[in-house]
Amino acid sequence: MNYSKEVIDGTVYVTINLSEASLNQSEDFKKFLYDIDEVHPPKIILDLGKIEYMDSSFIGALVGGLKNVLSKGGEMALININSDVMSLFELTRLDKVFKICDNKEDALQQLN
Amino acid sequence: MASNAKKLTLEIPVHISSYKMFIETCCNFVSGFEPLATDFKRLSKFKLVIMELLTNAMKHSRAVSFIELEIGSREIIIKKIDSGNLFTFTDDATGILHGFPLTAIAPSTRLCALLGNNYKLDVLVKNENVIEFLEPAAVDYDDVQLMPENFGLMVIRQCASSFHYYFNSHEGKNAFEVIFKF
Repeated sequence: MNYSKEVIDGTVYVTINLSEASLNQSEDFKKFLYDIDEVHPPKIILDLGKIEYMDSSFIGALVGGLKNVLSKGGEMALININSDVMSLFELTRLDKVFKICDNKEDALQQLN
Repeated sequence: MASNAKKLTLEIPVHISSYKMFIETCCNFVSGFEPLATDFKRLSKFKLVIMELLTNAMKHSRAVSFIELEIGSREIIIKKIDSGNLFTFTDDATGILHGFPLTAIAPSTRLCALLGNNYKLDVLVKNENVIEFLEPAAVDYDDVQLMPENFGLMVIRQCASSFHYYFNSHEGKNAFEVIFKF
């Protein structure tokens, strides 16, 4: 499975099991994010720790997912971002838009 | 794949299942070019450019593409060349869709190209077959719902020293050229 999820402390914790997150997965991933409905309003932590390479189409899917979560009054946080992937967030200035945390504990604190 | 000490050409199939091999091949090729190899931040941007050109090839070209890397004395030139779909853009001010050659726009015209939903990038028309993508102004997204969900060409521009699109009208070929200057 490319994505797995579990509910921890009223928050959906999603692990992305991809080393490359790109155009090949972006549409599927966006649908996966849209379909998360375990917690209302949605609170989602996305663990990006396994992603070595990410392209702009996948980051676009993340933006689409964020819009959806915010439109339902929810929140989303990203954790475990490697330095190459962080460069992409900085270049697109999405580091100012997403809640970016070092780890799960920090993210849980941010969302609760 | 064809290469010599200064030039590498990679054939990019219509569909790529994994980017890693292409990125690593490109990184290996430039590993002896010290100004890039020893600059962690720029190497990261170099990898992003390769990845975005691969995505661009799959998403838009719909044809076999080639990535060429050339090492100069103080620069690295990356080109993505294909004979697939020609690049088009909409002038944000007029709503007119432009294709190449740009017969309706005078050289030296600067305009805002609309490339998708709220996805805009300033371009400078050099002549009817060449445009330069310009450095975007720093933007703060006040309303997340109005944010674009495409960033590819913008990312390439921000990573590199210069970024051009060339249309070869004789051969019907597209070429995106990215230059890292050192």
